[in-house]
Amino acid sequence: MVSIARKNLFAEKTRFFVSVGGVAFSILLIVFLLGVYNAFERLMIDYVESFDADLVIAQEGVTDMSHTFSLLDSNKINQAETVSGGKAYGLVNRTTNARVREEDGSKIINYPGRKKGENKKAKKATITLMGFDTQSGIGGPPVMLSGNSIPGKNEIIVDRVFSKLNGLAIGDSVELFDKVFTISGITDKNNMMLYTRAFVDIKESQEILKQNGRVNFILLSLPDPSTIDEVIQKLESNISGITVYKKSTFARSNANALLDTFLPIIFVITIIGFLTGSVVVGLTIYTATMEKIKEYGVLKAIGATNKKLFFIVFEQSLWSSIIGYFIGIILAWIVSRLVIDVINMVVIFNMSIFLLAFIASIIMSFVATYIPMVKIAKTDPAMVFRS
Amino acid sequence: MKNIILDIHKVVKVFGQGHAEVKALNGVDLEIVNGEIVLIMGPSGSGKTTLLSIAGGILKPTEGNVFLKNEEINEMSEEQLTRTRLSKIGFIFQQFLLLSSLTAKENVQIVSEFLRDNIDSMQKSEEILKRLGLESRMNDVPANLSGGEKQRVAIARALVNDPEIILADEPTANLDSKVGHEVMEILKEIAKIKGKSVLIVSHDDRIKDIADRVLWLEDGKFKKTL
Repeated sequence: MVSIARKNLFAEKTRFFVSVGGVAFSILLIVFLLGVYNAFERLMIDYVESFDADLVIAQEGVTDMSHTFSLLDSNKINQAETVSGGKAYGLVNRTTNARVREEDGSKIINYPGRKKGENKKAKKATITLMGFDTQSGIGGPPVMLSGNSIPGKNEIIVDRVFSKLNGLAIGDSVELFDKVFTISGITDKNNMMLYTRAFVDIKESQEILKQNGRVNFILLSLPDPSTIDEVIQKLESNISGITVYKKSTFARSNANALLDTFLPIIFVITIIGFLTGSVVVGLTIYTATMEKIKEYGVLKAIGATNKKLFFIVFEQSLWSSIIGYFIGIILAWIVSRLVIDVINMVVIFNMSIFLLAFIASIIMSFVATYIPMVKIAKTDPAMVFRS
Repeated sequence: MKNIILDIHKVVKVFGQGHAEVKALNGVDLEIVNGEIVLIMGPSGSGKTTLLSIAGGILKPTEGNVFLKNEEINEMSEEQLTRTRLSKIGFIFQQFLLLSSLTAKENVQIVSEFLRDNIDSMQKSEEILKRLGLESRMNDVPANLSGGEKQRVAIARALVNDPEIILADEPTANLDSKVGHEVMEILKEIAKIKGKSVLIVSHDDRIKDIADRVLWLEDGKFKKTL
């Protein structure tokens, strides 16, 4: 089969590259943004899903770990165990500042007699401190890169990005609420851009945060997970002031709490990316069509139907979009590697993102074909007899 | 045996309305049989091109009827008309109007594929181009062909679907006398050997030599036979 579309498309190479480039950058933008969105979602979900527990108990009305503050008396841990027959573990969760360097940029050295908390100009970094049960490890770091996954006394596990940004390694110190901790492990997948998670023993976190034994959440393992709905009902009716979530529900709720903030922005930028791609392909296909409008008139006069001509124009558009799609995916991958390495942002791609971007590129082809097709449909084949 | 291929009956074509109304054709009658070459001459604006467009089903007459092999084409739906143009009418244009990004062979093949969608199209296109002496130029794009070669490709394109009639608009206008003569010989062969009807609109007196009938169109009417 002779493909007029391909011949027309590749005949004018500059226009072809502009068209493909437009789609590629549009796909790059769409895929990259969705990759960032997906990364936040995964990081939030994966941490909660890593709990070796079936239920998460929060203060009544609390929906997530980011936007609302939950505080539960320590006796609720025992009550939860009694009512459910399971095993309950406390979890402390508080976003705060950690001193990571002295005012002159030198590392914090913990020595006897160091006046903690006095250096107000010390370099600080925001962390979300997670105090977890170090006996069971439940609520601890989901992925370890180096060191021990269970922090000992005066020890802290920090994220890879926190460590990299502050030039800290295992054995270095950070100061939290006038207490100096030694980094004993480096974890990964805890970088939420605005903060990173750091992990300490629950008792130490309660002590420095002055929570008097109180916890923020309770993680509950059930002996028989098949009774989960029944247990939730029992817990909520027997223990006052709590809301009980299945682990997966709580994970989703945490992800939503974070993503709902970004979603409108990401949505708008994605739409802009989509429209930009459509306009670039549309303009180049329109120009290519108008340049050859007399040839389309000839084809109409000879006996080509509008449907056949539509497919010729659509095929041109489709080629631009598909080639642009693959280039866009490669660019997105390269940019994501740079972003991960240079600015420590997290980007995670998955098949759904690639599929969504592919569908977007196909829709771009249709959008781009519309105006040229209207022009062709209106072309009078009698034009072939005019000089 | 002579059969009427094209029958144009009392055709009137009016463009515009009211004060802007122009009667391009005013009751034209024309019959063409198979194997016949009819040349229509006349001054500019006499209605020659309008008549050719109506004969080819590109324009619809305001009044009158057009029959192509006994089928009334002015009553056909747009889809039927498109199909009829593709399968029963071959067009040759003054400016060749080949598709610039396709090779000579592809220009012919594409028209065959519109009708058949089969692999014979390539073979058929090659055969016609060889017959017209373009064997060595099949893979050249129009920009690399001479005027005479372009017109021969256009003739091959008109013939590839084995039409009943060839409609040619000034087929020698952009060609020098030698090449123009070659093109006339090809058209004569199409009519006399292949038995196709050929309707030519031209100012070129040389075409009279190959025409069976020469009609003079003026003010939308046939005024005389030359």
